[in-house]
Amino acid sequence: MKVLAVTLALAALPAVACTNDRGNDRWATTENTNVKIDWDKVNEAYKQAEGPADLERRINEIYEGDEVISIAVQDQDAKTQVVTGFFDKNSNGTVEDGEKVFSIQRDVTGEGQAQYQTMGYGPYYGYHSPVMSLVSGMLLGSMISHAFSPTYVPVYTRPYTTNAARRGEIHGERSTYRAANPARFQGKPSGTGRSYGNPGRRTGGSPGRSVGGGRFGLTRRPGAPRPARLTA
Amino acid sequence: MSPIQRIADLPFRERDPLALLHIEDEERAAPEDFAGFGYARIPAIHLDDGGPRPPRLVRDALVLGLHSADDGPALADDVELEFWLDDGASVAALLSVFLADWLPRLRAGEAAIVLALCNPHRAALPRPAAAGATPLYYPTGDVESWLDIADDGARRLRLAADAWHLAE
Repeated sequence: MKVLAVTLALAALPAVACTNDRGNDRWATTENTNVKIDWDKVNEAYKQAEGPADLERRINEIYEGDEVISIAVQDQDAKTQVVTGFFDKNSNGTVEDGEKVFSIQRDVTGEGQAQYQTMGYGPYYGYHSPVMSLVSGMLLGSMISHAFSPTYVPVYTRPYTTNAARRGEIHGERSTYRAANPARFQGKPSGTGRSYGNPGRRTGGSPGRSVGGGRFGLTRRPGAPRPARLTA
Repeated sequence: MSPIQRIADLPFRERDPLALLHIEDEERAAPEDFAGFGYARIPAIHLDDGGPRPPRLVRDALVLGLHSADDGPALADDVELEFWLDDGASVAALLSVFLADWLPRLRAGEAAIVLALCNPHRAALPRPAAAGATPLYYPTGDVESWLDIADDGARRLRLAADAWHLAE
């Protein structure tokens, strides 16, 4: 996957300045904070979240900027849930124009089946994940897996939103997390005492360096048929 | 139509570790897509989940290099493998069936088995009986291979994924 090194001014950014060239790029960077959002991890956080508070924690551990990302969760009906991440700039606990960072829409599509998709907004406008499948039995947190229960009743018909007190808690928790994990920003420990730099997952690093190998997935050409499955 | 009609007939061969992991060009800055498959016995390999902790070091590993298609079916407890063959043909097989067929032939007293395989739908894989008592590690999410070279020249092989799991 590509690593995006586009810099953007977060506060003064007109949406038009962010083109769809960013498309599905996994990383986005903003100039004022060098903030990166790892969308794979955001998508994974939703999959694993045990509830809104757990999702808030996970999202803010992923986000490397100074702002706290607030969360709004709303069940639109028995099948559709929308999670919105936003910078609550005026601390009023509601999602307003210019505050949205991302939204995740989850739709139950059948018995034990669902799908979800993430979209970026504001400085992350243009990011859109593929529509990703969810199947009962996957490694999922209860925020999603409850939707597969025969007795499921949507809880957030009245939206959950991060309130001001919770934002303070999140900020404190995240400060503790960052203090406990300096390696994430200053180079990852090797476990051997050697410095391999901070290669991250998909990027090279310095000091030391990382050589990219291969990805163990296959991208089929558009329209190409799936091969026959051998059964024995 | 592929001439391969049985999983046992797949050209799943032992490879040099660097070739298996597609690390043959030390100027490559990022992993790239490739379709090679096979297995290698690797003295030490690190399993990285991208978290703050150091990658897990697995010694004496039988590493199986396999591929799933990005648009493959979502299965809760299995992964559909695809093998793109040199003659342009391709075949698919369920990982569970593949392992039942091939693991008994490949196992040779190694300390661990590692699946280098993208698991895009996060299937929770049960422990294959063919693994015997040998620990088997599998990933969720994309898997990419890296060669890290330290300042002092030390090298380590690393497989990066969203998470690594021990099949149970």
